[in-house]
Amino acid sequence: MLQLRRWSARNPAALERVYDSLAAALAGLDPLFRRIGYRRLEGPIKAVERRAKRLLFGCRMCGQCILRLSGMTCPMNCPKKMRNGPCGGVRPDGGCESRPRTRCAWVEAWEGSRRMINGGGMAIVKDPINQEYWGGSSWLRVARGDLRGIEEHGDINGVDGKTGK
Amino acid sequence: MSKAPKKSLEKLLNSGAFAVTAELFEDPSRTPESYLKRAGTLAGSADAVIAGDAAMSSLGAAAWLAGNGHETILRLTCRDRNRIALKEDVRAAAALGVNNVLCLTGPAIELSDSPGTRPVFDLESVTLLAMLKGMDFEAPPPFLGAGVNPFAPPFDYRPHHLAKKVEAGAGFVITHPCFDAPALEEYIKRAGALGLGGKCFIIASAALFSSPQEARRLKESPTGFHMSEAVISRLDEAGDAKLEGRGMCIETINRLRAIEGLSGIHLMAFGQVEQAARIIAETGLR
Repeated sequence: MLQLRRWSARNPAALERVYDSLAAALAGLDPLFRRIGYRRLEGPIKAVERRAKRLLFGCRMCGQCILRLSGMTCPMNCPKKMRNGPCGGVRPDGGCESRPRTRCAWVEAWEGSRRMINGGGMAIVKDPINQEYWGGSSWLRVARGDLRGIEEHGDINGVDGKTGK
Repeated sequence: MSKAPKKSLEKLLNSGAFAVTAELFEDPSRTPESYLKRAGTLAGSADAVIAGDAAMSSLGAAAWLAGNGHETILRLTCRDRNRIALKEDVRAAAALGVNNVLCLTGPAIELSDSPGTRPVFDLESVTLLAMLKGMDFEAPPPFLGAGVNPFAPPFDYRPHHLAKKVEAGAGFVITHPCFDAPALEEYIKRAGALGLGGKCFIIASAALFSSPQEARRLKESPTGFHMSEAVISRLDEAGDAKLEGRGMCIETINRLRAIEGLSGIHLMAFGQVEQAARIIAETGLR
């Protein structure tokens, strides 16, 4: 499991491609999902989503995934649940303020974003978390159009994660 | 009723003046009078003061000081309050004459004196700023600020993070204590390259240590200050650590003032308020 997590941290660009294709596919599946019924789908889809994202990202099922905007790193592993960047307590070696032996999720996110094809999502001001969404399927929310898509968050092409400009 | 302060921090910064702010920290006696005494010592030296969270809540301390005529910055953190409580605190502060709000995420709950408490973190500094920026106020809206730490990793991302805070509504930011002026200079330069020059006032913190032990404790505490061992050994090797700490603080202030694009100094004197007032006068800041 840890090996998989390490692999995903080293390959954010590959995961980014998978995620972009997945988001496009999900949006197209909305009519079909409607016919089947979202409530009926929630259980099985969530089970797959939880397992896959837990293995790859240590997902916490916040139900409003922003992996694509955070260097393909799950920021919900941050003890303060920060979705807009690191706190000021990051240790000199990149360790977390409250769990010194764990690396700060946002240090990892920044490194990941620089290895993505388009990691500019790091510069976007993200909405506060919707506490009602915890535990639900983020993928189904994407299909339904409940979550703001990456393009609706603003122009991420204006920022280049690689050069930091 | 609150006496109107001479000049608000916002007006002062907008006028182009170099601002001086200060942290009061808690007095061992933990009485409201002790806050007033400390603020009184700094009146005329500091343009605004922050009452840390201690004996009374930040809101209680800030409103108490504002009601007594001091220009005050409310130190608001997301650790213990959800968005409803945060909104109410800010409305109360604005109504009671607190002109400025410093929006912080706050330290981890494990580092508080009540471990085992449920951490809230419903918002974080950026989302708190955005929420407050969008609020309507009966009183004039508060001047919103945030904390920044240019001295912690990921360094290259920090200026982008500042850009987000500015976009979300920060009109000023106060840095963590600076022991590395070139690093701050580089940070401000990078912020300028992102188009932030003139959009946000950057105030740098300068620490006033009284002993090497105090510096060591603050370096090694989990919310640690990012400083090199050289800072501590300099205090350690000095005959009079207090005098050396004072000299180091003055050096820092003079070095920081030379940085282009810096709008003010925030003094963290850890209780040495009289000394802080003297330093402000001696360095010609006021």
